[in-house]
Amino acid sequence: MILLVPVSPEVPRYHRPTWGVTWIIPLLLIFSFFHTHPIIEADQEYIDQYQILRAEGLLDDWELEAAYLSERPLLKVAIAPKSWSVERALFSNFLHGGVLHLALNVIGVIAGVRICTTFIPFICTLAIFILGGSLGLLFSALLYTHSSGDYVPHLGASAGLFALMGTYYVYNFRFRTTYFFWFPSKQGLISLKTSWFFFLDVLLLELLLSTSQFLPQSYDGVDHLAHVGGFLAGCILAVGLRLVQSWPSVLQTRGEFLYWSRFLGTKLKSVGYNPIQASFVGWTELLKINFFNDQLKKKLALLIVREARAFSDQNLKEAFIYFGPTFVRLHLWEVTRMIRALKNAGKALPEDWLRKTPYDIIIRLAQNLVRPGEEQTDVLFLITSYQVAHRSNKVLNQKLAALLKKMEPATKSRSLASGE
Amino acid sequence: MELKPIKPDTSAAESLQAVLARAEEEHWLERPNAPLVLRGASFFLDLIFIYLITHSIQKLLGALAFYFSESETFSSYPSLPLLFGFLDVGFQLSFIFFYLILSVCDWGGTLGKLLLGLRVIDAQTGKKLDIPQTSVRLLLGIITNVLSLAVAMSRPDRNTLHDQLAGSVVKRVRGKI
Repeated sequence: MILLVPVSPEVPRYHRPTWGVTWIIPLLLIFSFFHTHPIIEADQEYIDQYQILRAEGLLDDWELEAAYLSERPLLKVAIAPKSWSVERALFSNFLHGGVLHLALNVIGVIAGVRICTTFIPFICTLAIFILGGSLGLLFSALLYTHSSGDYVPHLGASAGLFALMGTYYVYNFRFRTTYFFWFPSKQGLISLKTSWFFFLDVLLLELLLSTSQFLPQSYDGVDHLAHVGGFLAGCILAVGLRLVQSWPSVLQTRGEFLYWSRFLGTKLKSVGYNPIQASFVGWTELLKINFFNDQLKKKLALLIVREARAFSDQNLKEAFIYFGPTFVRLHLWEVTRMIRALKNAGKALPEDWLRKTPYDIIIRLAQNLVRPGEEQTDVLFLITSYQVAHRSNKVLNQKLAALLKKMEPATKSRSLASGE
Repeated sequence: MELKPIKPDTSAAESLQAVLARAEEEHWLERPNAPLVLRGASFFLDLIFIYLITHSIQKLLGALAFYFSESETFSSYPSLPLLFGFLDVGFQLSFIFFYLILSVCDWGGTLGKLLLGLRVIDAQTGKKLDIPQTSVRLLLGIITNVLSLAVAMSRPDRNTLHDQLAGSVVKRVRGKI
């Protein structure tokens, strides 16, 4: 058996979601379940009676059957395609058909609320859960066109849970998610791009499963349409919230956003009126708060590409701390451009960074630096800098010396051809 | 006088790329063999992905088949179920071919292996496998399954039987020298 559970967005420990407020919504769900349990039981008895009446042939007429079903006890608190109201749509989020239904949703909601509070206040999370969930349930109820389901109640917290999922994707789509990975004898955390699983989770599985909901024969008893509706509503509400907050797309967590909106201005004033230094200080200060934020790193890399001459060696050393192996693997092109710009500006690559960068990454960067029809000095610059940084590592040093020797004919032939 | 565009000298770049590619392959060969735990984890990840995709294809085609069989225009075609059955098998086989063979040839591993930093390479040269070699490896893996695992557990280098027979090896490529 294997387990892969999303734990939190990939953020530093002090930004990780806390458990405190996470319990409020699950407790509300559990309380509502016990409070409405008599209605669920009464509804079950009503449906048992309906089966008996149908078997006896007393409900042959569809109008009679519809009239009987419209009086279901559960429809006093939940919605159905032919019987709905806004208040009942709001309340349907807190109703569950059984203990298993409740348990699965409680687990999902705990995870959903927990990760969403990394980005938005709890009150907004609660509002998105209720509004998004209600809209999802209404979406499903109004889109469901088969007459056999006219009075089937649409209930449960899963639409709200998908609304939270939509919110999470809106806030964290460009960043990574940390998953708990469990396998017998091995467990740990693994970080993957959020966008990869977006396509798998949402587009592929839920949208395809919801297509089968239109067909009664392949219906699996799960309200996939409400999931899709809830997800869309959650996305729209989250986008609206981001616009109201004026949340820049490069920021990932609430901590960064608060620093950006409240304190960064004062910090930048201390730098004076130098726009390049102000940008540099801005990006690095935010990276100190969240060193996993790849979007900020890309901004910093772009700044170095454009203004390589303006930075001191100390500045570069400070900036390159953030370009770790994972960032280089995922954003090879940005780092390649940066190395080229630094070489053209006559700047050295920070030794600390070279020492920490694995050999396979240097090879990949070198492959990216090769340009047809030009001097291959960029590649030589990178490899020789790497060799100098690893002068104390004899094995690696020999390996790099052998590589440079093999590269010699290729770089020499170009120099000869250009008449040097 | 007619001006001719100067052709860039690409031979130097090509030979440099070849040198760097060879360096990467040599580096992969030097890396330690993948531990069995990681290989097992990547296998289960692959199973999940394969299940999700094939299940989705099946669901979608099932829904389409139902829709067409209910519609007045198409319900009279007797070969309709056969067509959808054929499409179902065709799509699923194509996906499995892409996932288990092409991904190993082009990227050096399936999605599960790539996520966990593993690469399938030729045991002698360090190059990525070609299609016949990958197909043989897959076939041998299916035939020898548990035996292959038992052989790997008994060997100090943890190389599986099907990898030995196909002349391949799975390496853990991430990490410092």
